[in-house]
Amino acid sequence: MARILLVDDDEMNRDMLSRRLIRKGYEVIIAVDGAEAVRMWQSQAPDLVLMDSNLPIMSGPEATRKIREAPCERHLPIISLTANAMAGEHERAIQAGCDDYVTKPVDFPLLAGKIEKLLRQTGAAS
Amino acid sequence: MTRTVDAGDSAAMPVTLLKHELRTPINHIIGYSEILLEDLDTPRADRVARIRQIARELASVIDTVLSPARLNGGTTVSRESLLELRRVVEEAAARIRTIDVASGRADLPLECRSDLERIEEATVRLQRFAQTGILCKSE
Repeated sequence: MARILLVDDDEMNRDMLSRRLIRKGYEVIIAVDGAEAVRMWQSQAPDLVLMDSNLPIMSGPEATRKIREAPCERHLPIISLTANAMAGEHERAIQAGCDDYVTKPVDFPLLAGKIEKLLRQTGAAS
Repeated sequence: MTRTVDAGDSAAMPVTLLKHELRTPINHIIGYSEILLEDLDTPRADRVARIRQIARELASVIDTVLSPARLNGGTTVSRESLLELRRVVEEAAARIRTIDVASGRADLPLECRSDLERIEEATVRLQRFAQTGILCKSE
């Protein structure tokens, strides 16, 4: 079973997404800011990260950059969750090293498709 | 003339934040409606689908009213993303009902690159056109 690190500072967003991911059979671990995301990535070894862009303490793109700077054995897929309120948010996420992005409100079937595709590519599909 | 408004534009910033504050709870309504839709039987699901649809339309209104295009004049923000065109059309068809799109649907690609909200706006305008005979032009 693939382990997904869900990073979002909004409790309702975390609740909605984690319920649906668990229903799909994924194990979900949670971080509420960018710094905690980096710590969780180091200690919990997720197979994929869903990273909100607008996070306290350390932004999504910053946390993504930290993860990408570290040497790793295999590529960790990171999907950015963007609020879409600000122009250029998607570009910043991709430039920071995210593999893909989805816009809030999250189109879950679309997100699930992207997750499955990226996990298949890294050989971590559940 | 169309150009993308950068978040760094000082005039766009407060509107961006206001829009974010208004959109977040609406996004929650949409998200929880979708979770309920996965659980419910058809008659109840139809009612929840209405809640989701109304929330989406409200989100579209907020985007239009608080768009930099409207506030600054002459500028339009386009946000492209990969879309499941068949699903967008199916939802539009459910919304419009009076417009028959079923015949052309089989030829549509599953994904296309476009701006979901602009397409949804267009379908809302088509719906109004079907109801009133008045076609509103895009902002």
